[in-house]
Amino acid sequence: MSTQIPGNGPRSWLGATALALILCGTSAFAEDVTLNFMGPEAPAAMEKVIAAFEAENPGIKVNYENVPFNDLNSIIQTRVGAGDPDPDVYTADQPRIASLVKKGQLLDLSPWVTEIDGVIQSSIDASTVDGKLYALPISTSSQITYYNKDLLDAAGIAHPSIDPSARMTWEEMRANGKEAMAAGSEFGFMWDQINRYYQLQPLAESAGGGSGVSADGTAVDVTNDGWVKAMTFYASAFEDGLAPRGVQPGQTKDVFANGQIAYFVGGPWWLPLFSRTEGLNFGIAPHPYFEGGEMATPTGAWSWGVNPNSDHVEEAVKFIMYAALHPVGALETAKGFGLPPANTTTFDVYYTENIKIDGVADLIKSELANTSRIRPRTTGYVEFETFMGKAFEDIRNGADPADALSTAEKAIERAWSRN
Amino acid sequence: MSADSSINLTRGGALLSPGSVEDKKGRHQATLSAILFLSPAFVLLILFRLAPVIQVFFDSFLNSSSEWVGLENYRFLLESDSFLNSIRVTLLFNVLINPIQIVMALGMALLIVDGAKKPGMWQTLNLLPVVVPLAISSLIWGVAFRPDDGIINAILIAVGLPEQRWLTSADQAMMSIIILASWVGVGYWSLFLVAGLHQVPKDVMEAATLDGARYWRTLWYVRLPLMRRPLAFVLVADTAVNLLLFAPVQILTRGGPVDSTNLVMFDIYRNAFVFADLPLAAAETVLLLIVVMAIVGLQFFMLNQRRSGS
Repeated sequence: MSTQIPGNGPRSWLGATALALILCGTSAFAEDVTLNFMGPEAPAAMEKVIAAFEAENPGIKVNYENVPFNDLNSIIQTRVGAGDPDPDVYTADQPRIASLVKKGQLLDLSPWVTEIDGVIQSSIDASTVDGKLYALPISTSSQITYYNKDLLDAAGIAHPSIDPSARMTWEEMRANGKEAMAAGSEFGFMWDQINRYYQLQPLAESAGGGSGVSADGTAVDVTNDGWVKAMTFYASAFEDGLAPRGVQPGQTKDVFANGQIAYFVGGPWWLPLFSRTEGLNFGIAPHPYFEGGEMATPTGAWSWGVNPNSDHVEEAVKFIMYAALHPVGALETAKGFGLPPANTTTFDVYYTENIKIDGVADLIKSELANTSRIRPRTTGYVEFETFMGKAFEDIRNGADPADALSTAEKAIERAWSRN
Repeated sequence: MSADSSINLTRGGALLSPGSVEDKKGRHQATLSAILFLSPAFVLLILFRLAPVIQVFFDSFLNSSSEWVGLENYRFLLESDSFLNSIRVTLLFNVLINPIQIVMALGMALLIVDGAKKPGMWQTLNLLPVVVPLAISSLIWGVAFRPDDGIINAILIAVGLPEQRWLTSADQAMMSIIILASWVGVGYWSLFLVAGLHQVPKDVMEAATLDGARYWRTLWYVRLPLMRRPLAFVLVADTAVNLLLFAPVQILTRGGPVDSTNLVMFDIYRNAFVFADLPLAAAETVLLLIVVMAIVGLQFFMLNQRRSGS
């Protein structure tokens, strides 16, 4: 090469091209940004939106890291809390956003996101602290009742209506569950997230006990009559053998899928799984309420936020905006996620095109508009949820409901006194 | 003891050039190379063991805004029923699990060394649970312990015994954790005891047999006393491990039911990584460290007592 006169002959042309290619290669390499993205969903759930985003934004790669739901918050705490730039983007459980913001673990998005149209207001509220947006709402949630048609038929119990105004009461569900067990069902009824606040808050709300936290988020009250009534009912489900003990959230859906239980109050995200389960003949109905009480359903889900220590803030914001607000991106997110999208346009498209079960979209929309109760917005939510979860598990295992609630209330107050 | 080792050292140095100035030089060199060989381990020990302990000690006097609060975190802990309960639970857990594990590990080691036709195969089988990470064996046991549809209750029913509540009962949860921790622990600790049994000199055993001692007498008066070192190691290490046990509690019971399995290590984890209350967790760690050092110190003291007594 060195003996050749530059610009003369095919060999030097080849050399120049190779050099140019190398230069191009290095410069493209230098521009390539890899975003680390962390959440509790299985990697398959995120593949679609990541592929769509990467196709639209050459030079940005997204690397998804899956961590267990139970450990998500402690991992955020250890990594983001310690100033680590990884992950760049993470999924934030909406009721924990206030506490994440207080600890400086979420980037203020207000300079980046000036307009946010077509997103469910309660989801935006849940992602806002002191008037500033700290995360973009990705999904919302609700709960429905699944029933096993074969088990109900065997006991001669009528299928419940899907009409929200004709919903079952918890008392009916318990009575029917007992009948179904007498006719051969292994269990009567149970909850999806069987010992978590998200799932059980509506029981207390329906029994008149409120969320357990005052509106300003500073006082806890889970020892009132409503809470005790709700938890006495909850305890009886396990005491009477209607619902199984020892089964953890995440294992509960299998009990319904295996045809072991008549009713299952759970998330609409199990629809695809149950639909493709062979031999499972199921229907859906609204979430129950207490006789004479208010109708209340769980809600709230995920927002995605950016780590303030990220080295690639601009790209990270671009990614979450694509996943939450872009018509294609939001739909791809919803397809993988299986949760109802917080983006209202996407919501309709997602349910008409992907979940082809009659009435489910209308039911969820109606619940979100009329009966959903968001979890308390308080910086002490983590302590609240942890000690309530402990109380639920103790009650489920036979502890006296009033005692367990009183223990939890004292523990929460004590933990909050540290703040 | 110290006289012994200095004699050894002199001999070691004297191998090259006995009784000269170079003897001193050789000793000096031996010390130097010992320091050099040990320094990587020392540096790591200081960096990853000692430094964090010192940091935790200082952090325990701060609040979450890093302001000096003196003994406030300790006061909060010692006034907290939940912390005192977790200390009580941890001590009870250790009083139960350590003797159980050591006796079973010794029994297992004796079976392998004295009783097994194919010791290699039994040794491997005995070690299998150790290969499974504790987190995974916790999950497996968690499913097996399920009261309504778990395999353990199914077996109990099949042989005509009453079913049990296992992890879901405040009275049985700790025992269940002991069972699963021992499933892993017994195999591991018996490994050291198998090695210890093999090191008991054959001639001593033969002499005992010639004197007419039967199996149990030989075991009690000859083999066990000669196994003091491996037994002491297993006792101290097992105690330290069990005082710091964490994974099964975090995965299966989260301290419940009704705080019956709320081991201190789990309480520290929850304060540090769930509630982000690092100063409180630091104070708790210091208190746990004091308890661990006191217990292990007591064990060493008693083992030395017995040695000088015998």
